[in-house]
Amino acid sequence: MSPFIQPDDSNAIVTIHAPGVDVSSAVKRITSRCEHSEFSISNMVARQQFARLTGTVKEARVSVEVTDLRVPLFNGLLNSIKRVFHELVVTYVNQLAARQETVNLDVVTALTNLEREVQDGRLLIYELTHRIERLEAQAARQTDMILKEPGA
Amino acid sequence: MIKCIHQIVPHLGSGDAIGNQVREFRRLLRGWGYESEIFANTWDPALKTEVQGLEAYQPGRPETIAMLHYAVCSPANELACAIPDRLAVYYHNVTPPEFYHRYDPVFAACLAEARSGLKNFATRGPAIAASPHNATELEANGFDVLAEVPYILMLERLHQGSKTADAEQMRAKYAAAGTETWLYVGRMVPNKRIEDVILAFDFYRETYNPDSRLFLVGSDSGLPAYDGVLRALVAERGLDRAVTFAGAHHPESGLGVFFELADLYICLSEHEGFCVPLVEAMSFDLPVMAYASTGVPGTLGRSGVLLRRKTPALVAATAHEIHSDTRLRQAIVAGQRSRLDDFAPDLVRGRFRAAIDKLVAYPGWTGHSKVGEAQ
Repeated sequence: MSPFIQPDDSNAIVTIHAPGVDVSSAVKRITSRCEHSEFSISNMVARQQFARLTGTVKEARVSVEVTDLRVPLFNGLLNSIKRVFHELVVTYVNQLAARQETVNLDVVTALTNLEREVQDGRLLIYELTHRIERLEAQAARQTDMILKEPGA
Repeated sequence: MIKCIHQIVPHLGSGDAIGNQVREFRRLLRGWGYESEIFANTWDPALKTEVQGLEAYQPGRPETIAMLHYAVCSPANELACAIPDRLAVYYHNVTPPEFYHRYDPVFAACLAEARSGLKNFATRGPAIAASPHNATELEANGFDVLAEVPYILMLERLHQGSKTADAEQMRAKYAAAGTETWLYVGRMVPNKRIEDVILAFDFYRETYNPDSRLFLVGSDSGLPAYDGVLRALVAERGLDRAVTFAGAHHPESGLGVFFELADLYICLSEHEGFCVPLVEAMSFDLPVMAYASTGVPGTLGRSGVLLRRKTPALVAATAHEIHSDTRLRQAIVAGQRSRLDDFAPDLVRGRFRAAIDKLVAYPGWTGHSKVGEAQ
């Protein structure tokens, strides 16, 4: 094998070659900073809105909060039954929140892709605008030449 | 007995990687006792005494090997195809035309012709590749690849050039203590995806460090449409004061100053045969962060930072990590120094010598005529 081929068998999104340093913690920090690596909305306002949205859904998960009843004799039994019902509700609410989180990430990913499309469209518009300007300048020059021709 | 090894090249430039390589090859070949001339379709006026036009090439000498430098469509390729001599290809790579369709359809057609025409030379003789990626492409086109010989880089010129009076003026002009600097060096052409660098930089400024700037150093290479796109993007993002289009600079006239002033070298290109600036950045102990496309992983080897995605968030977060963790940055630079040793000029000259020895002894030449048949 060629000495110039130094195979990099990693499929990681980021590979840091730093001899003598444990780069795994650095890679973890990078990936946690862009927790959803597709989350690359380049417009700051949109990015903040989506960060809030993601945070809100994460906070949607709830925990069991049962206030003790004060009923003589059956107090312990009733509280146990109440806690079981609460836990049942919480389980379903949290399942719903988890699904909503997945949906939310899908929305973010889709919007990121759309944003890229918009960006490509913008670049195309810049390019076409530039081309039109050049063609207009060219047309203006040719018009001048025609007007300056004898007999025009 | 091979006595002459001539080089045929589309264009002999005074400051580009191909031009430097061709001239260094000739110097070495002559030093090893071969007669060696350069024949080009076009050349920089400053080099007119070093080169002959294609029409001056005299074909049909049995003791001759012609080495075609293949990078673009050119009458040089047509000449090489037509001559009966032993023919070897040194492959610099050809940019896929898709990158140019929107900006320069004529040049895109030229690139398409060059890419499709490469395989026609595989039956004529062996090839030498400038990088592992180029070797892979050559093999896919049916070539017998004799060797990989990367560019013989004259890095000392780059470093000496940053000590001149002109360089001092540039340093005074661009110095900004405390400001973090990203650097890209290279032609402003579409395959380099400079728009991705700008978008990632914009994200970085907004998210991590508003006191940062980006130097884009290189010529627009006759693509005003693409240049216009980049400038419009910078203006739209409000980055006029943070992004500097510094224009083209040669190693002798202070290019090295930009490497000295920078904190990070960034390359998000989607097509590179070799990518010389990566190695130049290494020589200035500048951490290199690059998108792992085409020839880039082969040049970086096990050094620098490779990205396999280039969303602005990922690029920015990685840059922030490199910048904020001193120990990590120093280790990256240490790894790059080690990689730099692989490109030591004498080492590469030795590889070229070995390649030439193989070329001269190559048993499988086809397509060349015996003396007299060609005339």
